[in-house]
Amino acid sequence: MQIKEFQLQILPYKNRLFRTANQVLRNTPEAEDVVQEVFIKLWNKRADLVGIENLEAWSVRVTKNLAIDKLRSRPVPSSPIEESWSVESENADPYEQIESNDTMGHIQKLMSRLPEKQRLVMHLRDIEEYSYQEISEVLEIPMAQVKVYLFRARQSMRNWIEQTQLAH
Amino acid sequence: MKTNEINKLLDRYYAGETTIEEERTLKAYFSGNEVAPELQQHQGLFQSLRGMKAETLSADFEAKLLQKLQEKPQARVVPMRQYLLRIAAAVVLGFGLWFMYPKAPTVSEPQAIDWTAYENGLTEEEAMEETIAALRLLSQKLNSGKKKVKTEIVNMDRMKDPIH
Repeated sequence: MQIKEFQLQILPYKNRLFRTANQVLRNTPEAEDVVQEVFIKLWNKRADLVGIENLEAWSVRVTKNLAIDKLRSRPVPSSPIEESWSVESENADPYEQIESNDTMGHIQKLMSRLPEKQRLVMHLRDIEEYSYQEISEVLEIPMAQVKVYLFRARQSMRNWIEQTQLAH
Repeated sequence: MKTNEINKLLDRYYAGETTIEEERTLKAYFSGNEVAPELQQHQGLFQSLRGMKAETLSADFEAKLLQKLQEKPQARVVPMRQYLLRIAAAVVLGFGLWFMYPKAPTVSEPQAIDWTAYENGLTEEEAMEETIAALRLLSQKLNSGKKKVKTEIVNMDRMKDPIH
């Protein structure tokens, strides 16, 4: 595979990979580093890429795994999560802190409260618009489990959104 | 789309029962300006999901990456010991293969047999006598073997009958 082919076939996934890494890490520079690392790995193994059926799903899986490794190797766990969404309060109760006009920031904050697998399933379905089959391949879990995680994630989001509204 | 239909779709969405197409319909509806007041609390979610899809890497990411990919990788320094080990392994493997595979038989031109070497100048009668003597000896040897077997069979029969 030449650089031109790589640029045409693999690089178009870059923003998907970035958003997936960012969903795990909640840190833009770190997510960019992960994506760069993934592409370097793919380039070095370009001769083996021919046999891969769904290269996009495979690349997202590699990215997700690398991002999780990076997250777990952090010395201090997860305080940057709150900072990177630029939401002012560190209040543990998601219903009480809705002063921000940044709706997307607020929704991202709610999503960040979901357990990791639920959050990733919701991200891959509702943002990347992947099929259940693709999500199952990326996360290496059965399709039935994908549906369970998605159901739970959306139910939590609904509860939080409705209770937020009631609080107003 | 009617509010009632959107409401049903919304319920199915939260229950995880919608298709990607139906989810796109919801995103499109909530991005419009005619959202029913009772559904407005869900508007933020669907607008945000659309917005999050627009998040991208920094503009110069691709250029920097391509530059990095085209940099020549540094030549790997292989220590001398590693080279020697490789050569030794190749030699051992070579010898192994040489011993393992059978050698091809050497084909030589057939030569005429010199039968005179096997002739000892005996007459026909003498040769017959020699042959008879050899066969007699063989017969004796075979008979002594038969006797021994017979004795052993008798011994074994005795062993089988402890009272005897």
